[in-house]
Amino acid sequence: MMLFEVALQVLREAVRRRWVLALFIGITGMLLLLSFTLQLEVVDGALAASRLFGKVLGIGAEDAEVALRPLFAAGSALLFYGGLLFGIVATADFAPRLLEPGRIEHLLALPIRRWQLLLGTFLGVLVLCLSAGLYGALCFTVLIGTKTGFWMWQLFGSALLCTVAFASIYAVMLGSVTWVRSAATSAALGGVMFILGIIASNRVAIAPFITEGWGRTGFEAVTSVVPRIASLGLLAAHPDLDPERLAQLPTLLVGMGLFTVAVLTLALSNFESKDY
Amino acid sequence: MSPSSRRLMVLPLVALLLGLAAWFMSRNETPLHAGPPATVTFPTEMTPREEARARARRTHRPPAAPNAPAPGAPVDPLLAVLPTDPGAGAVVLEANAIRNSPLGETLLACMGGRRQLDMMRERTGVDPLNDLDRMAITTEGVSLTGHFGEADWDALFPDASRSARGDQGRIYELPDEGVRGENRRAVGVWGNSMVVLGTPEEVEAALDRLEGGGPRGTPILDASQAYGEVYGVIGGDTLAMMLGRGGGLGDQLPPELRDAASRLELHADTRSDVGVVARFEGEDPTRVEELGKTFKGLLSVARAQAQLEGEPDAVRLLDMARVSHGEAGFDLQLAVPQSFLEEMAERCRVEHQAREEAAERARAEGEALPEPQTPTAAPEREEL
Repeated sequence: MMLFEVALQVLREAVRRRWVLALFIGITGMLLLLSFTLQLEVVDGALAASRLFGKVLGIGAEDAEVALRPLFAAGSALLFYGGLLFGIVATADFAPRLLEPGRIEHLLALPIRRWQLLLGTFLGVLVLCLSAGLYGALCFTVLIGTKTGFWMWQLFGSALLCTVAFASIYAVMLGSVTWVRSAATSAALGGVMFILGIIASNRVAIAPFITEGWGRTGFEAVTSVVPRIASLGLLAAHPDLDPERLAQLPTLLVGMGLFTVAVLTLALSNFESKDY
Repeated sequence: MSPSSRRLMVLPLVALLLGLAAWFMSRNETPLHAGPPATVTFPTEMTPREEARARARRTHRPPAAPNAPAPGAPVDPLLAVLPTDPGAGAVVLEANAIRNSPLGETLLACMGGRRQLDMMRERTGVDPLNDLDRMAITTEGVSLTGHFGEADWDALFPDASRSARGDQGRIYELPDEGVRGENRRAVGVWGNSMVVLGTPEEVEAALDRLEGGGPRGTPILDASQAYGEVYGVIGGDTLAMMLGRGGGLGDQLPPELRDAASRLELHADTRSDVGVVARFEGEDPTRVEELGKTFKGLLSVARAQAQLEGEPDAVRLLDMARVSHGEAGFDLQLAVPQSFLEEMAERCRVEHQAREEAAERARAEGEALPEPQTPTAAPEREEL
């Protein structure tokens, strides 16, 4: 129960922060802008005309699912990558604040185990990320659904995948704080993981450009461990991909889950051995 | 146990977890951008390769008109033989290119292999897979180009009446088997590179266009339109007949739009994925636009219907169908991805093999019986 208490405390603190308020205002503002500027006319499941900022995007009757697919793909990609970047920046100082001198001593004096403190923080941040993602997905889906009468649940999947990807990045950010108590370092490592995740997703295409030998082997070894952020992003934006690629999703999720557990185990071991 | 030694004990566990993570993430790993199949190339203009192909085919210099100072520029004989009536229609198939494409493999598999083609080669001396280059299907007969030097036409049509037409033309008029002459058929042979099939009048007119013997006119298909592996033009009368007659697409269109398009230009690229562009043009841009919108609606309805009826293949194909509006009309784009063709070919191969095995079994059972009570012609008919 203490684990959830800590997670709840993280959420309460997040609500008090302006960053989180900005996140929700940002999502709402973007969707409001879209709701005023995008005009979709749908007749019995067929998209008759669509306008964005007054400019006609297409005319004639087209199947609404086919016509709206690019819009949902763009929305999913925005939610996935935007959510990750905003999450890295917005949550970078959560853990350093938790461990700042004075506060950590107070927390450790309470009947809370160290692992509960660390995992509770991790859980709280993930719940925050998932809530923001689901809020964005819900608003976008309702916006398009009420305008067109066509409901697509793709964005909810994107929000879930974004949370899985963020979990692996935030595990590294949280782990770094147990060594260096710095929000800047935490954010930088989050950014590095984000970029490495994109490189790792393209490792099959990049590897042939590296000279065969220890260089390529090293690259392949390092990137094999890194979570495949862009692969997950592609699946979030295009759930209608070929079956071969979709079959990759379960192993990808298991792999990223194991990576997160491994990093958290290391962080926990370090946190337990620290003397505050 | 000291904290540092406890930390050292955790390291192997972390390494194991990371190793497992790497193994799971690397399983079935494919290049990131190899996935989406919806990247079919649509033939919208002539490529440099096709320009070179068209230039190389301008091998025939038609005789000069009676009052012309010099003979005309060399032309592609197949394009020169096409009808000149703007209301007619002609579609050219690059038979050799199609045969060597995934579409050709699929067609061969679905036709049931090469047995029938081998029979045709033995009978005529022409190997359709290697000797046939192009085929033009027109409203005034069919023309074939290729290497027909091995064919013994006199032996093939022993009962036909033979006549010469121009310098290189010969016409074999086949015996009339109809009651009032409606089955009159003729085969025109031009050199060793072209064969024309049709009524005697159509064949005569086609050879005259090549040899400069008849009335002069511009063929309905221009050399600049000869791109893709299938290309053609369908003129107003033929198009109106296609869209206006009952059944099929005609029934789906509102009557007031059936004659909105006066010309249809068709191009298909079959080199890997099959991309088809059908360009509709008409005199009244508003009505043509309305026709385009109707086509969009029809595609939309067809896709919804395919979804309801649980036909994933049709949904996949209709997903890639598009209507895009231009200044003179609209383009209807249809695509068949190579992966789909390969699946189709495999399905055809399996089905054909099963049919052959069933026929073989039926034949064996028929032979085993001393006096068959039931006719054993069913498998034979099935094969036909």
